[in-house]
Amino acid sequence: MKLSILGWSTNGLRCPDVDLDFAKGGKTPHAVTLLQMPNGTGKTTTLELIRAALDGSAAQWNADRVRSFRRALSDDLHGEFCIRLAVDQEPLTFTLKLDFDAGRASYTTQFRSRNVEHHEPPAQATRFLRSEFVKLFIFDGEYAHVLFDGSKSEAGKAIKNLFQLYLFEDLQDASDAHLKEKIKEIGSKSRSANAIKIMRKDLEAAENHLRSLKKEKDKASAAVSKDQDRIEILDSRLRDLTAKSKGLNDNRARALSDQAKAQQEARDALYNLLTQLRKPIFVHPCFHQTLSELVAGLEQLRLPADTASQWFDELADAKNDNCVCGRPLGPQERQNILTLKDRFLGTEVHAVLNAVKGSARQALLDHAQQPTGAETSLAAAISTTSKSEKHKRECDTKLKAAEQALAERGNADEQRINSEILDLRPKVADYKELLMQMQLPTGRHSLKVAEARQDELALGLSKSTKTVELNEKIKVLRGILEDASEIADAALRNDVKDKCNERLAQVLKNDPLRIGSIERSIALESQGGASMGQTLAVGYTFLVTLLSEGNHSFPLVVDSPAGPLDHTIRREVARIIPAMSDQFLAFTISTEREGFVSTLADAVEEAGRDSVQFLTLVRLTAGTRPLVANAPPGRIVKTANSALVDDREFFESFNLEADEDEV
Amino acid sequence: MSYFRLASDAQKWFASAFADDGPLRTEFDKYYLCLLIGLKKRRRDQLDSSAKDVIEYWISDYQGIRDLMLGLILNDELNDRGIKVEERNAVQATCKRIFTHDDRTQLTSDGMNVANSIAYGGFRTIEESFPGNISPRSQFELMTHVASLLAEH
Repeated sequence: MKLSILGWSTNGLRCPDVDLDFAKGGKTPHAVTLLQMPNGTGKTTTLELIRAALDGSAAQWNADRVRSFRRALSDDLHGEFCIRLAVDQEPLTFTLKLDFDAGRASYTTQFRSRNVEHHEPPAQATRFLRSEFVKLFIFDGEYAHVLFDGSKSEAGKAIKNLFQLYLFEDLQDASDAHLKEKIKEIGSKSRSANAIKIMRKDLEAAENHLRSLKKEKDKASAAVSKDQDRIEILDSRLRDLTAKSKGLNDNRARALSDQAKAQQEARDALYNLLTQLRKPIFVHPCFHQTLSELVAGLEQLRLPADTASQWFDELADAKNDNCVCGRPLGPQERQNILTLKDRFLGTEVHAVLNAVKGSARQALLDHAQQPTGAETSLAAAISTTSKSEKHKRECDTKLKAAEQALAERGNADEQRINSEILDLRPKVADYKELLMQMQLPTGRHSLKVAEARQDELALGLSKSTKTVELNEKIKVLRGILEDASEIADAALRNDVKDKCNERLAQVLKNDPLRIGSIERSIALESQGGASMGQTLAVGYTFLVTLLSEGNHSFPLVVDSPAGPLDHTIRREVARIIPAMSDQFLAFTISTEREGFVSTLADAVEEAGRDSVQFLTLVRLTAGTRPLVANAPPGRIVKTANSALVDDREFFESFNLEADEDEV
Repeated sequence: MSYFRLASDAQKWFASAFADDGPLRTEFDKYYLCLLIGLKKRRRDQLDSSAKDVIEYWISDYQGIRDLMLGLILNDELNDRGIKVEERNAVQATCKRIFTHDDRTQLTSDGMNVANSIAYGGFRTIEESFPGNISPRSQFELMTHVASLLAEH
């Protein structure tokens, strides 16, 4: 079966009114259509509507959900989404009608010439147009993460759905129903009808109990798998953090020691500089010269004078009748001596001046004994001080950086991870305990007990209704179906895994990542987890691998295919897109173009497919009107609230991150 | 008793650098740096009444160079007065006017005024030449600046 999307139209809904045609009126759509829609143009709404139109799920929507599609401030009572498909080249149209007044959704289906007022896919498409399967090819980034979620079983379900493994269960249900019908029929004719009725009820209760135990088992297994995966990831992160912390702590310790050393050196340099400053004669030649001239001058003048003023005081003393020269001393002579003595220095000044002379002489002597260029020691001290200070600052900066890195690594992260692990471990232990009890031959949770009880009641009932042989046959059939389902499931999961890994080796060749297993969910070989881009790439690869199985072909509709990917992975993903499906339809925004669009266009050309269709859909607002005015004439179609431009140049030059409010 | 004195604006200007950990610890350190620059640059400025007493003696760190500093102060004063070192009487009179053995500073009141005005002239030189019209934030900034001024020709 080959399914294609030829186009869709929206009218009176939250997203702008538009009529999109991916096949130019024909039955074969472009291999790749890129529909550029700025944020706020209704990408998510459109995806929801496509899914609902394909799987018929809107019939179960409640009134609030229906009304959530109503355009803001609109008086429209109805909205309509119509999707045109081709099933094996034959046109199929689903129209989803939303009655906002009544809060109801309804469908019409048109296939070949048949028109019905409900959702009715043609027989060959029925099994694929179910919500479980539709979400595989109407894809959003979120679903890629769900595929990895161990608590959900989306990956396993996807394989079961594609390969119709549910048919084994359908067969089991049919055989069980047949047995029950037979028992009911025979029982109603029997004389012990009441007893048989009671036995049937007991059997039903035992079956319900067994079913609920199995459900519990599935739930517990899923929880163990999810929580153990999570614990392993957390353990791995913790190990990384610890290793990183050790490195960071070592760095910090080194930086701290370097800083202490540099601080000491800078301090020593400053002390040395001060020591130099406290030697004036070495500071500058001018001081040396000054002191040298001063000492020479004082010595020439014989200063301090040999005779101190105290000597004149003693000479002028009244006890002396005569001067040293023998002449008599009268009051006038004494007065003259005392007046003249001021021209000579007293002992107090004498001592100071002698000390000045002595110190200067010694300093000059020290200076003379210093190696040549003693004054340069100040310049050297300045240079050393500056270098030490610079080095100290560098060490300060290094220490700050080391501490910052340590702070950013975050003890908080370690604590949070530890706390999550501590929460998870007892939960896992409880679930494991429950699973263990289910394996025991006795006990309230024992599956064996429940199965034996069910078998015993079934046998009793069979005996009473004479259906023992039929019951046995059905038991054998059930066993065969269960084994076949399990074997097929395991083989298919393994096969899909191998094929995925072959593709992944191509897609992520620069950053290899392998799928370790596909049980309920996809588990990667490396326990460290993958980046968002890698997750998406693995998700795409898984879907591409699934959708390319068998003789079927589906369109692949993706919201923001390159958004979370880095440029290298964008190119890799763009290269595999032509091989992904016969029709690839992506909703993009302008920031996704780089590294993606040109690679994709080239890959499509290389694959010998037709050209890429570049569409730009814009909500018409005061802000976007000037932008769409640049669209080439004949390539633009406008409605009351939107403009659709079919042109590569316009697509590539269009630049609007987010749409504005509707006008 | 005469005091070494520093202007209050000088005290403020040095505050940040002296709050920093380093070898400069005393008020006399500030005074000495200013005095040395004043002597080197031969600049004097008159202190106003807001100037504050620093200390009344040469602290132990500077005892060893006290007499050299006194010699330099004497030389500066002789220069300032235009007295040549050969003029015995004028030199003697200057010594007598500025030196005394009776004060712990070895300076008379006149001598202390001379020293203080040289130190204030030194401070003004340091302050005016400090880059960015701000005060130094660390002893490194202050000491390398002062040392550079001294190393100039």
